Amino acid sequence: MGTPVYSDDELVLQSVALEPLVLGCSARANDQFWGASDAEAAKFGLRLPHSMRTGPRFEVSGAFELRSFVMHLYHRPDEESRKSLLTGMHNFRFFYPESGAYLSASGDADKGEVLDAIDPKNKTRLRGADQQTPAHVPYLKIPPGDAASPQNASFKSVWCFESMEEDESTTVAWRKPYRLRHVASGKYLAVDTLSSTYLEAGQAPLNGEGSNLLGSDSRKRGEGFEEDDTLQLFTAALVDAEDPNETPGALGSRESIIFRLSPTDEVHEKLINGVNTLRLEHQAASGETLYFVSAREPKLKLTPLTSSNEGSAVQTKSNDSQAADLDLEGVSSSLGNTHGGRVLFSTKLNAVDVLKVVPLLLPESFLITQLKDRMNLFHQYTYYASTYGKRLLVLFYINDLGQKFTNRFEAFLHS
Amino acid sequence: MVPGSPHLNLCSYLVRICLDCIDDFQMETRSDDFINDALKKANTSSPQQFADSFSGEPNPIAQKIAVEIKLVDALFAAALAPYNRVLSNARPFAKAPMNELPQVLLKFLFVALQRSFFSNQAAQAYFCSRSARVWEPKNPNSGLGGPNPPLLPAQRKWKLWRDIILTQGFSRTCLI
Repeated sequence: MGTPVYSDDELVLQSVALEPLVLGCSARANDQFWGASDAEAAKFGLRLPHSMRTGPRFEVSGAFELRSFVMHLYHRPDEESRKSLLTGMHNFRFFYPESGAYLSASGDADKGEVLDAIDPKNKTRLRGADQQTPAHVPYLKIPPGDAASPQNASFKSVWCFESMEEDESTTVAWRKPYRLRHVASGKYLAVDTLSSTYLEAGQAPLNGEGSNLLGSDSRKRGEGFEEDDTLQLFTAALVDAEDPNETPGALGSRESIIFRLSPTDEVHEKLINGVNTLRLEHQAASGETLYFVSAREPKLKLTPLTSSNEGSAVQTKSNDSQAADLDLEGVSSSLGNTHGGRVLFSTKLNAVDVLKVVPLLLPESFLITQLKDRMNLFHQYTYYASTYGKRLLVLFYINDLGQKFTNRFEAFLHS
Repeated sequence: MVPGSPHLNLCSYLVRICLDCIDDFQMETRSDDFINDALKKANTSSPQQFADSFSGEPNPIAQKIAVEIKLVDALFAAALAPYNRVLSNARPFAKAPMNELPQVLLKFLFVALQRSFFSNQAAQAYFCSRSARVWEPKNPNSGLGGPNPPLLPAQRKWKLWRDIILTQGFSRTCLI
């Protein structure tokens, strides 16, 4: 019965139970429904917190007028590929066998961004100790107990590959460009190739004190490379989706979030839906290939941003650092709350810096995706309900505006 | 509907999402008409009675995910939001009719938060170490126009909760 539906066909989706109601979609983004939107914040020259950024949202509802949708092919693997090959729909962990650690990152999308703007003096943003590295960075973390056991692994170490085209998903192939999404925070791995540090040949390796990678092996930073190598090292961090206004190579630019996968032992044409061993490569804007390396030193501690643009130095601590101060003996270790190892990208290949892709079990993968998808609405509700539904208050509440805006805000309240 | 309270569509949607979260945090699955039953129960029972109606065995995997992706923090902040809205730490819906959806939503948020660390010591320890913004008014009638209100430090409560965990191992009761 009926006729076959092909890709790019235009369809009218009619309700069987509520005939003649058809499925429709609003022509314009419906931001009235939500507390705050990216577009509205942009009118004030502001940006929403990472955890609330969604892009324009459209309302899908029943309609009596004729409405249609066009079917585009997103992903259609054959039966064999679906079972045996890794696709963009699969979540996985990156295991670093050299130290028995997982590539992890904080699940807090607003890491380092203190959103509490009600007190202009409490204007804290956090950065790495070098004042250059962003607060939200990937790191290598050894889980407590048996590292190979999935039960011990953290969900902060769950990643997925995304095609460079947003409207399609495919099986994952070697040496093709992909974006690497951190599932817990929803942000993308990126490499800053505009600024780098050098490790000269023969330079003393850095001390690994403080990292939970210390003691797992005796190799220190610099080992494994050729003696006459001069290493150029680049910082990795997590960013939102690509920003077209960013300089190519800077964090957040399209070039910064492209990665390629190189097999250590190419048995299959594509990545299988099982354990794959690979090297993670990044193509710099200059065309040079950069390789994932473990720096063998702890990730940088966070300090308040003290640049002139952000006002004077402040000593206020973030919620996270308060929590760290309040940490309990025993509780800390039970949560595996030790300092992770720093991750960098290098111009030189190191033979031991390989990663294993370990796919998640399907129920766990489904659960984390499902729970993560609900986060944004809770954030929207929080800011909307906190501010009495006044959208200006929403914008005030969520942004670090300083005293100038406070005066305008109070004038607004008294008007 | 109280002027300025969250959009009813948003509240209605969040009630469903809270129920989905509660469903994930425990092993049992609910029936299709559970949403209507839960809404009736939330409207007619006290928060304690309503919380008692969710008694499934906890799902430790979902609870661990909620901690690590910061869903617990999002639920905590959402549950406190109406209190911030009126700049008071008591009865944010005092002027609202009993069946207001935003008021009912708060009960669902509290239960979802409770189920996220129910019978899970690691999740409880995590929750106890969190802090959230609560605006403390100078006096109940000071309103928004006054000087910037100080933040209410969460450490006071945190110390109390820490004692509970250290002395009893874990608490089966809702900590809020």
